[in-house]
Amino acid sequence: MKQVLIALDYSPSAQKIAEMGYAIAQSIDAEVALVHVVLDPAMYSTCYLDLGELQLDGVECIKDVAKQYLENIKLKLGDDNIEMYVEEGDAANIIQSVAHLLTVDFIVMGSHSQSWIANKLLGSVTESVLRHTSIPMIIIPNKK
Amino acid sequence: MKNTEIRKVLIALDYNPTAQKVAEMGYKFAKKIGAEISIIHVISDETDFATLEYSPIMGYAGFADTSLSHLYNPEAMKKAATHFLEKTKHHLDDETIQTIVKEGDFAEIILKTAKILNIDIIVIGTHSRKWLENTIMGSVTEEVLRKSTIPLFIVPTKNTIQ
Repeated sequence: MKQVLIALDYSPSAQKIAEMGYAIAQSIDAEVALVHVVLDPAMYSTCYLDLGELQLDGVECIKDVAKQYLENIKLKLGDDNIEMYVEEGDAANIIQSVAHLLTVDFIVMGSHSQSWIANKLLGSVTESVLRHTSIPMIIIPNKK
Repeated sequence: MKNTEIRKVLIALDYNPTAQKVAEMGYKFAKKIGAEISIIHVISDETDFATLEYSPIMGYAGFADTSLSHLYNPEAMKKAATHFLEKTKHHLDDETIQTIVKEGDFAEIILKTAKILNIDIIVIGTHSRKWLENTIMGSVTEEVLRKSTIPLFIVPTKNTIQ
């Protein structure tokens, strides 16, 4: 069975990327998995160092929001068979790990991420995956 | 008929040996989704050609057997490029493939042609040699990526050459 991984962040174009990726996956009879990567909790801990357990709750909360987010997208695509992955860590690394784990045929991503710093260049996550991956990618232009 | 927005695919090819992988993967993908296929090669400044090594790919040995003076003849280059795409077409064994040879700036011409032909997705290799090392095609892919308003199918090629 063929499999396609669609990587989504919170950018406004995520819906478009999900829909295009899904349409392409459908046309090659592939299964679809969605992935969203939340930032490494280590980055939060530098801010909330003295909050103890609260900090962990914070990460869980972020993951819950992300799960809900992917759930909504799945609902809009109207396909119950879509798998969802919410992971934390370095986005480019995680996307590639999930892609390898699922042995996907290709990865779908937007050309630009939602971060305004990253948008100065090509989306930094997209660029990083492109540089390192041995898996074909479909890049959906989403520059504003 | 399947529900897909992708009806036309443009495959951009250079003379690097990795072009074979790009052509084959792009073709397989396009066929699977039932799209129309065009292959394009863009001829740039002739000085670029002098620096490229040619390895036989898909039965095509490039300019290896022509004298250097031919390299600076635009007509000969165009003929060779057409020949290269025809060979590629034969390799893919599909007479319905449209071949396009253009001159000019790689990224600009690829994007312009894609617009004119109403292309739904462009297939391109990540890099001929090393990514972001300012080699010609590597930077072309990057430029196409930055400027394209059309989705791209990017074939990783870095592991296919040494």
